[in-house]
Amino acid sequence: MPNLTVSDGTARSAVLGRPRRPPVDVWLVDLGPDESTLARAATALTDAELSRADRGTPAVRRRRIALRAALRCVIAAELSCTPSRVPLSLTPAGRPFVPATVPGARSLDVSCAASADLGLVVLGRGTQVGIDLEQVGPWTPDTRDEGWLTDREAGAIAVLGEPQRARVAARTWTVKEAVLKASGSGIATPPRLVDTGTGEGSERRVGRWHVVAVPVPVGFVASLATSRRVARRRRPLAPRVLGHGIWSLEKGVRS
Amino acid sequence: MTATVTASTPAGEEPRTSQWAEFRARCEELAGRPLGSPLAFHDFSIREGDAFWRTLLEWSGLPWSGSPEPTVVGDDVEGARFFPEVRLNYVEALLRPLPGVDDEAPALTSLHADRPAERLSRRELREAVGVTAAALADAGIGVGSRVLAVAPNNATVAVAVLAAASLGAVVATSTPDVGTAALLGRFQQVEAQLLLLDRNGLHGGPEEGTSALLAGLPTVRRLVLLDELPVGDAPATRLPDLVAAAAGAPRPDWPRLPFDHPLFVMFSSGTTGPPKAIVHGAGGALLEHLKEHRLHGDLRPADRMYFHTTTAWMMWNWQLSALAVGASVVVYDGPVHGPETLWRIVADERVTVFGTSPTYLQLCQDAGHRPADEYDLSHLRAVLSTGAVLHDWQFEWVARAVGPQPLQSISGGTDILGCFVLGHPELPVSPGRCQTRSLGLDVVAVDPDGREVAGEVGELVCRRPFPSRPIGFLQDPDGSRFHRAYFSQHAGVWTHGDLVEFGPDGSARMHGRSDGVLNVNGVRIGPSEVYTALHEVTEITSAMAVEQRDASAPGRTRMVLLVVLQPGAALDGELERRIRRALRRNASPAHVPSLVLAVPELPVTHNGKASERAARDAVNGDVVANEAALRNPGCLAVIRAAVERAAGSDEPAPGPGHSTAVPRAAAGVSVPEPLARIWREVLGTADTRPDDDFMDLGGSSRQVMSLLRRVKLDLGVDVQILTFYADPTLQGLARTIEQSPRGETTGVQLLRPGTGRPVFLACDAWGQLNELQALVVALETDRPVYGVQPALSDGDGRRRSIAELADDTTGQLLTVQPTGPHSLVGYSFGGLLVYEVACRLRAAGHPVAFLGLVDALPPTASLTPREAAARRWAGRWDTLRSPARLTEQLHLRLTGEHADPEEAAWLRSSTTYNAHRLTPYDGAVTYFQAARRLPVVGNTLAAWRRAAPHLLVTEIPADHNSVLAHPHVLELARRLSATLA
Repeated sequence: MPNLTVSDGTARSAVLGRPRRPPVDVWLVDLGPDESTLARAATALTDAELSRADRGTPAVRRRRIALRAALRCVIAAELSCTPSRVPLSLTPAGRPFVPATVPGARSLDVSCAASADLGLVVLGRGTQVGIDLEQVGPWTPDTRDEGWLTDREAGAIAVLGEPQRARVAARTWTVKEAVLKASGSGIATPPRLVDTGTGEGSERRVGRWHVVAVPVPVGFVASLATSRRVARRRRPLAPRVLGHGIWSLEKGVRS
Repeated sequence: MTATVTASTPAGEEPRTSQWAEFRARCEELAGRPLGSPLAFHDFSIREGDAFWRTLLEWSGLPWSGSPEPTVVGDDVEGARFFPEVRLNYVEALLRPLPGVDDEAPALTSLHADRPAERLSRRELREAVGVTAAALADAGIGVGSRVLAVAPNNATVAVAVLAAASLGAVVATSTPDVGTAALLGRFQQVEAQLLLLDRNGLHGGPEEGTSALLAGLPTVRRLVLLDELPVGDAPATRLPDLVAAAAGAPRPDWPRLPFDHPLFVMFSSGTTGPPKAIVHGAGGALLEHLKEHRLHGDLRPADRMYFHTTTAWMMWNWQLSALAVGASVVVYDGPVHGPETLWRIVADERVTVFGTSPTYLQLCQDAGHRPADEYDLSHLRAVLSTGAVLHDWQFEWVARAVGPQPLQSISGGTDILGCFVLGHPELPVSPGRCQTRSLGLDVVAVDPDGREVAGEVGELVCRRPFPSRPIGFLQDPDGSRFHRAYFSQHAGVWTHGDLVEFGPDGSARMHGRSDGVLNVNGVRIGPSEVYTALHEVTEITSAMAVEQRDASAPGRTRMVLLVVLQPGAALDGELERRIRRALRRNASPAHVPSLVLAVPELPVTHNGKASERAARDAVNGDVVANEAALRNPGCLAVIRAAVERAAGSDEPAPGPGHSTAVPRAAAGVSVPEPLARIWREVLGTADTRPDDDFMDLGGSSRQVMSLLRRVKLDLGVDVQILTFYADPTLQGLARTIEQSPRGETTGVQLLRPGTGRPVFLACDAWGQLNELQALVVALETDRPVYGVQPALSDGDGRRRSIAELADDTTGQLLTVQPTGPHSLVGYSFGGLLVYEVACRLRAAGHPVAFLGLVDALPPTASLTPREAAARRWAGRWDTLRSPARLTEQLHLRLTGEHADPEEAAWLRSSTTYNAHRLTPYDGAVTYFQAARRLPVVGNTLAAWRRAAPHLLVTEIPADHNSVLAHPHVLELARRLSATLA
């Protein structure tokens, strides 16, 4: 069993003593690792997680393993344990969480999202978090009939030019999903009932949630919903790339 | 996981000696040995029960006279009598001035949803109970009288009940919303002479409900009203009038009566016969409650207790006894709108001890509610939970979302008016476990042979006498029913009917009911009540209601009804609807099963007794423990198979008891090729099997939207998102479509079955009936609810005018309900639609009973030019309010290069809508206006008023887009329900 740890700034901060940690950390994850990396990542998962991954097509399996391993690595670094030992539970709605009774996990909240071969993991300290990521697909007029846009959202999107439409629609979707994930409601609430306002604005309020855009590679949009305001002036909330750190699992930086 | 939470001390206070430790020290002196370990102290309390109970009586400071000797006469649980020489008065014990307790400080706070709270100090409460007692004495109530109270949980009923009890009367209480038949099944047994009644929310309505109650309670000679509704024809006196009439009458003394003088009659459902009418004595209840409050809960005069309960539950009687400690009690008689309701009370009222149920805690958890983030809970020192099994994850949720307060799972029952297992002020809390055994109660788990088992699940029994054992049952002259209920299973000990497991540390884990009584999400339902209510359904020869673990919601259970039908009868949709309707009407919505299954026979034991236990094990797929005792064990396999078949076709219900799913064979669902094609195209893969999970194939939640839209367009079926997720396979989707009504999804569809005249709900123009789900679930009405969704365009894509849509809808509506009066409600665009439908119905001579418009804007063609301009300005103002939105809008305008003005107009709620002119309507219209909007928009109501002069406007605290979403929808539903009921 390799020692799975994150070998980047998080670990360093442990060495340097604990500077005040930000309320959220966002990680970008490459969900298309090669087979040997994938095999190492799989060692971090429980049997139940692996069997769920195995039910998927090869691409789905790869993504599930990579994203769950990333989630475990991020939490492991926070709790100073190995990823396979992270006590991850699921709410009845299927959302992962670390039981509050686990030492150090009291105010911890996590959320993750995947689209194509890109994943996002967010860890919140003292704030609830929900994150969603969407690859921007081509706009079709069908979208507005799918019933998840409010009239106002659909109206605002309709006056846009072609490239913006697709992007704003994807953005709108991620805002709704991020809010529903953060609230724990998930699919129980129809997305149409989350009114987002529209546009590409970098920060907005949706009900009691603060929603910010997360910078992601071209072709994707992502949104993060939090119960506390986490955006900092002039410092966009840039995700760190977990791709290299996580896949050099055996390095085991932590003592 | 074995993480623990330690009992906390409020910040800024020195740790102090618990009352437990204080009392234990006194017992140690008496015993002459240390009793420091929790097991040693409990052991002393049962082995030296005489000394324990006598010392408790003395230490408690309760007012009593006589002699504490003998402490107990007799040593068998069934017949023992405690303190035969002690006399006391329950109300004196609760209300007497207490040393060290401020007589002017709040003692009873009564909160309401719709009016300000009442706050009574200890002195005021004593005074109110005194004058009320004088009035009741004047009305002939005295020692041994029997009094019924039907009222929501507020100060008025507490004062009235305490007044009756202070005179030595025995009282039974319930809430007004219990079905008349169920209420009479309980209350008739009391043969009471006086009924205290609050008709707010009375089942059957204030007038008919009252008549039905009085007709069913022939012994009642006096009806005293606690509410402020018009008296009407009822032969009744209002309580204030009764009190005024008795002004000047001498204040009755508090007569000290024998220790086991009857105080309360409580009801508990039995598996056979009518509900048991359990008589509890004053002394036993009082001593047990004081023991639990002071020792196990460390309750003190500075505490404020709020236990969320109704007057029909034993926790009502239990929380009232906190007054005897000098603590203050908070009661609330309003609805629970959502997760925030109770926590807000806890915060606003600075409650120190809050009691609730696992169901409510789960509701909060499911909603993602975090009370600690929302409210100041710094005064709260303990959370109590009872009524059902509290699960490990709920402890974790409380630790995370509420705080470090101990979460004490307590469990006992109506039968003993107290707890067998509960909290401990010194011990840590382990998730999923009750901390300790109740002191003085020799509670253990036993196997079927009556041998104590440790560390495994067994039947909960109490082996030694205890003071709060009921005196007996009403309507049970020879005590044989009482004996059968508790003492027939294991000779000489009390068998409670719960399953429990005790750990070596004395902590306990509850495992639910051991007999056939159902406990569905905290509501206890006697199977016999279900059978009684089904009497009118003649196709049923026998039936059995059993509890099934709900696979889709861990920790919850649901009711499965097994029915045996007459030869020739078949369980089709029509019969199933009649079964549900009968249960809803004759019992209550809680009695409506989630699933109805027809089986050839029910399990019966060799001596001919139906075995709910065997059926329940079979329904849950568990090993049937008593299979050997059955005369027809072969029926179990048939039941199992029926459940499995149903699981294959069972759709999630829109809400408890609303399922209309008819079980079908799972096999034989054929997947139509057009559906398979949509499935493949959305996923972009050709390689799929019917049982592949959409997500396993790489489908995203966004793609689910595309899939369901294509299904709607191509196959004409509006599949609900939650329904799809319940079985996200091609086969599951095919099954859902197969079971959906054929043809157009547009038109008029049944959303919730019921009885009486239908209620028609219309959704927004581009909305789906999906959107109405929260409203449909929240509506409290027995009437069937239909959704109205017209096809907006012709086959060739032409937009149809409002007039065409209204003509069409009127026709469809009349096929569902051919004659009036009709009830119509519409949201947004749907409001305009039902308005025009109502115009047509009236023109055709059909009366319209109710027309409700939910935040429907009039079309601009009906506005004056000034109003139209104001509305445009409001749109701009909306933009200007938020700088961020302004930037967005500018950005949109600059980049929106090829905006198609026609399309934009079409999407912005459309020219069709705005070109319409409102038809004049001279009937009454109720307009539910979203309150959170710009005042200028309100002016456009003038357009509605010009067309409909009888427009009544009521505000809903929400904005247009959230009025159908939680929590605002609950307020809308409440107001609609009040009108529709």
